[in-house]
Amino acid sequence: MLLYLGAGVLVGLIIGVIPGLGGTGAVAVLLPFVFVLEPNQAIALIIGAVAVVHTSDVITSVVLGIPGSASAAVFLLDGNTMAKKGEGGRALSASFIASTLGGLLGIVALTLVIPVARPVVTAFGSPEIFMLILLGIFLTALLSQGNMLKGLLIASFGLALGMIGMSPVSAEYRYTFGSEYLMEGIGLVAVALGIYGVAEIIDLVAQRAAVADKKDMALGGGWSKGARDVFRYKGDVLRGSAVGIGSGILPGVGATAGAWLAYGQARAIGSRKQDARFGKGDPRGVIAPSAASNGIESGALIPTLLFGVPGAAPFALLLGVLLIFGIQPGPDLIEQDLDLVYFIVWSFAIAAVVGAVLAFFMARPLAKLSFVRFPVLAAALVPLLFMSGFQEPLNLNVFYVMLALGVVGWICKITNIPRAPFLIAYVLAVPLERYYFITVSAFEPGEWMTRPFVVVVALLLVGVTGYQIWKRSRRSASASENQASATAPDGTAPHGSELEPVPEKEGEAEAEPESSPTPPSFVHLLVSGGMLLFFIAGLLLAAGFSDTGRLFPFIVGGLGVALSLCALVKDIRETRSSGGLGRVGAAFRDQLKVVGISLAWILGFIWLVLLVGMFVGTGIFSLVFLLVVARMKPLPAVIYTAVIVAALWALTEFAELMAPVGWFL
Amino acid sequence: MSHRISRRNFFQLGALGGAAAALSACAPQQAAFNPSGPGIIDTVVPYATGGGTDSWARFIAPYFADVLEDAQRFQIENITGGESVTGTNAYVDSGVNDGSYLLVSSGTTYFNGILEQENVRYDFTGMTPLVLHGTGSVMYSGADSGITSMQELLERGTEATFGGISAAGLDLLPVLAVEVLGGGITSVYGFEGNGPIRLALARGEIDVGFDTTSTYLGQIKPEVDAGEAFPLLSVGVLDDNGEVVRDPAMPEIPTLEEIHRDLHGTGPSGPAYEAYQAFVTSGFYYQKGFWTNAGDDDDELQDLYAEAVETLNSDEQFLEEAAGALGGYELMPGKGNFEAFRDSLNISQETLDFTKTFLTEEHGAALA
Repeated sequence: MLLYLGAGVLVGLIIGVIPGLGGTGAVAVLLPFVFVLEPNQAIALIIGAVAVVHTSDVITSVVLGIPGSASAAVFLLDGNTMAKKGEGGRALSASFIASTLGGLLGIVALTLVIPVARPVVTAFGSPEIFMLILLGIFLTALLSQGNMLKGLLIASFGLALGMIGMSPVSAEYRYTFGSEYLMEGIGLVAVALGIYGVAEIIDLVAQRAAVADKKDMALGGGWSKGARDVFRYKGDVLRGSAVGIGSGILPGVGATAGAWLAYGQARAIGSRKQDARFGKGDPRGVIAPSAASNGIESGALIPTLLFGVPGAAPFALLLGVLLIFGIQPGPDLIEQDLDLVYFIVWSFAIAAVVGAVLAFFMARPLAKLSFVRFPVLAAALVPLLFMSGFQEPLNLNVFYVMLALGVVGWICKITNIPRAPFLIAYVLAVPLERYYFITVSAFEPGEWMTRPFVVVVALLLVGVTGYQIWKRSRRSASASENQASATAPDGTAPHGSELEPVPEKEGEAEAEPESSPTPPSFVHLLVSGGMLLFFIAGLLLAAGFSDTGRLFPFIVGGLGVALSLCALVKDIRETRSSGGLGRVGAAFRDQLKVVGISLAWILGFIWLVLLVGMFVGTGIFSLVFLLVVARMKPLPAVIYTAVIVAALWALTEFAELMAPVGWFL
Repeated sequence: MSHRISRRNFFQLGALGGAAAALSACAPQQAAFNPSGPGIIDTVVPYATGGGTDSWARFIAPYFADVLEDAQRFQIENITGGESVTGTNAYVDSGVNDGSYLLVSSGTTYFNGILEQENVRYDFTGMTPLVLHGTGSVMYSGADSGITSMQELLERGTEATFGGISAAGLDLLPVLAVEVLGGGITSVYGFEGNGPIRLALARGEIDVGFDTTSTYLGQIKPEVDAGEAFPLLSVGVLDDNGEVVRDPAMPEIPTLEEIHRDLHGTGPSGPAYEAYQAFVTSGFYYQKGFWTNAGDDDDELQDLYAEAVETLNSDEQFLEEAAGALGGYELMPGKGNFEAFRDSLNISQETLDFTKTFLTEEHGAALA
């Protein structure tokens, strides 16, 4: 039995590291083996994988700045920043320990909560879940560092993209333009990898730099420091786990939203303290979501086992397996099959601990990747990212969508627009619509709007928004008074509370010191104008939908138009005050050139795959790219290319991934 | 100077984008048939890995591989998308009909075809089933609703709410059943799955739900015994003469036909019932199956699989091991059952129009 658990753990760790593949991917890899095993062996295999996948997907996010899975995008904020400062080891060890603790706490909670789970879950009705989803979207938009108005704007953009596909209520296809690919939506993996991964690649490829800035800084010392961080911020471990377990217990909230909620609370509470450096490499920004991500998985076991309702995506697969073996989850399971419940609980606990230990061994060699020149990595990353994104839709047009989102992500990066609200809004668009309609059809307005939890969340939303606006206006007033004295009294946090958005130019200068020169102001104008056109088009198209199908497109479109108009007005005012549209400076021109070249390379890759398929296309692309851009010597380049193609082949052969087929091969 | 270069770059980018858009239309079709080799039967499952239909296929297939002489194993390939339309289209497009390439289908696949949903390129009346497998289903109410029987539900009228997943999926049956009985009900569609529906019922947000036999027996029956839920109607099963009779898995629950006779003195008829029959036959009596594209060797293939089904149905070990996957219903050969299936799918244009209008105007669906 331990053998199967161990096999599951290994698969989970490896799949976690591969960009874009998370818990669902890991279970899918195992599925062909599951049905030939005994029920207990199959369960051990699945639990082993699910318990560790979020331990190892942090590695990719932290080390490379590319999300290991959609929910691990949260680690790009502080974790990746720490790695850039050479503190990758510290971030990773803190994360591993915190996620193990989160998993174990979740298991403790699972055993304690079983007797009272039913009232807890039934007390949380559709209105509560609807408000929680709304809170998730708003909090990320408000709390993300950078431009708040544009944060809300990009969140609307995410909501709009999330609506592509079948509407949950009226069962009609929206914004699919007759394309078979879009019927199921763009695909979460493609969106997350496009907006973060591809964006990172087009920015870094032609720069020939490594991810970490300081090559002389050793990783070694950081490991024990990370362990001390966990001990120091034990409050964040506890709160993060609690948020995670809560999101796991409530079906519909999901792992991605849970991780961001945990990050949001850590930041909201932590930034009251003097030493907070959230967004600039604060270990708490790693610890809280790590604890949460494993807390979610263990918390999600509760509804899965007790009500047969999968609390998280991978557990839908576990549920399928249980049912096929004739095990009916439900209240009776606890009474009749207590052994099975304890078996699952213990498997989870053992896997969580073993996974963390193994992750330490894996992380050391992998962390060194952040010191490798980026073009060398990109030759492998480009094929890998696109192949991961391809798995959901199995349609090559997803490549263009990923590239387009990569450009969007890059524009966000240079104009300091936070990308987290986009991803969260994309994930939650359909659940938001779903629970809104369920809420309004099942309750009278006066009934659901007066439920205590709904009122509390509504007040919280109003309070946070009001606080932001108040902070903002106060700061702009004081900024004009004390323009000369830029440094705040305490010296560490120049803007007082970190909750407030950092003014654009400074925030950017801190996040990316040299790589991103300030874009001229007309870029901001173009972004707002482009968004305005996008939302107007969305509104016009929505007119053709049915009554229930068009409500949310109308709301999102209207919101988008209003926000982009506000942004446009603000941009025009700023353009005026800064004197003209701005000039394309030499630095910015160079950057555009770099990005143009990177885009051309990726397009070349896409067309190669279109023509000759994944394997040959990757072979040609990687070889030429390594020789020309990475300037590798011919022999190592050939060997490296062979390794990349072999790795892709191994993924299709052993991990059930599909390789795109081209016209000729 | 600097502006000009930027503009040129801009145009270059624009040109690239334009070229990309033009080329996107001609991306090569994926998931083309790629035979795994002799003795391996490639099988398309148009649903996600680990879902109900996928698990069913993956569990059943190895037993067939054991029984069928020429089959070494079945290689399952999940092609998801468009509520199973994408994978089914890909299978039909391949045109393979020699038994080396099969399709696994489920209720939603048939419904998308009946309702003529977007992008559907298949027609099950022109395909050949090799194995079919049905399930029962129960409509039930929660204790909070105060509804304990179908009669009471009809009296309550549109004040009662039914919670379902999609008005274009299996959950259109209960609202159609109420319509057949001459009543009306308010529907709330959009739930993620049957699990959340049971929770919403327990919270009293909705009054009526609809779930398959295995879930009913495992999760809802205990509540029925405790007086917290009430079964209203079972879709029943077909007997040897093709008549609908009570489901032996839950003989205490009446069928729609019985309830109609009790209330109105006659059996049900009319467009609503014709539509109900089409959906219940394909959606439940013959819910899942292994299919092949029609070809010259159909009879041979059908015989081969009919024999395999017979062998498995008399194999105690199989019946015991597969009890969970089968949910109490025997596997059926495609041979001999296809006619009933095809007849149910052949509904008149009038009935189809009635169904679409009914679902669109009274239950918020948007069917073209």
